[in-house]
Amino acid sequence: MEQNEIIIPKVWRSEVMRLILFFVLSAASVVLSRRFPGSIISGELFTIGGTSITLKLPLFWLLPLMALGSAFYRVYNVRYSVDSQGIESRIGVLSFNQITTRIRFEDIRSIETEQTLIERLLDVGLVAMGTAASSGLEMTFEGIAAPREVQNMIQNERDARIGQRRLEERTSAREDERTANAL
Amino acid sequence: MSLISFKNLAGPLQGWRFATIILVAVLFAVFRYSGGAIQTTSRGGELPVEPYAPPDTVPKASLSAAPHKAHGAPAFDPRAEIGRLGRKDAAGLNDGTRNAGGDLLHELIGDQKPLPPKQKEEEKSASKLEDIEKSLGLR
Repeated sequence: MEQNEIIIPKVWRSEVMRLILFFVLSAASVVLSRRFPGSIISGELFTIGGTSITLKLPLFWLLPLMALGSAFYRVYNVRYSVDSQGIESRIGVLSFNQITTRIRFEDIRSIETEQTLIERLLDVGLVAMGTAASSGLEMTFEGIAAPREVQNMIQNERDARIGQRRLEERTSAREDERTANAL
Repeated sequence: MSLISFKNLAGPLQGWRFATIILVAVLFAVFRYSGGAIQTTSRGGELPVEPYAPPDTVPKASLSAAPHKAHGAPAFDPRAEIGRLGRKDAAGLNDGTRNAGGDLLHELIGDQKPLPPKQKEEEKSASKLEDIEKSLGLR
């Protein structure tokens, strides 16, 4: 990890529908477990030194657990970062298979943002970047906060790098001309 | 920058990380309200649990049947008690009457009968008058 690396986290409010589902299922779990006490199963987990640990598990509680687990997986499975060289997207942090994509600022050709109506209200969205190497969008930052600010930041950094590169090219061209004239 | 700083301590409580902590706490609260629990039971044999009884209350059944058993004390034996006090003759105590105790007291203090209170006062006032007469030289 580089010193000046900025982590752009995927925020919880990008999974607003799953969170609403989680709260609804949580309330349903409490009500249904009290109405149907037979749904609470009990069993011994393990024994340590003559003391047995028993778990009483309400089966309806598995519904909000799955809803939150799904949202948790989607939030923590990705990692987006920006450093002095370029941007990096790591997908599959919690998976067996991980895909890491890295793009230098100079290679970025287009930056797009995409927001639904709810995402605009919550100020979250998607930032997609394309390079000259591929016709489509090569990298997407999904569910990040303030996508327009991120887009502007990457755009400014790209412009600065391209300007610096052009300046260096001009300087080197002039030096080549001077050398040629001197000869 | 030192590791123990406000920024590092407050790091997990900021933004999306704090939201994660809150959501996990809500999930655990739902687990508990739904009736879930994690219990530990000892396999070494649990001690028998007796219902709590305040120290000044004794079950009526045990009190009427055997009072000494209610407190776990040995049964009262008058002969053993007399032996402890040095009395050989426990005939008077065997009947378990008040009179037996009275005979014992009588034997201990002798045949002196206590004076009636009025007579005591007369004797006291007479002695005081004699003392005054003596001091004045009348006697």
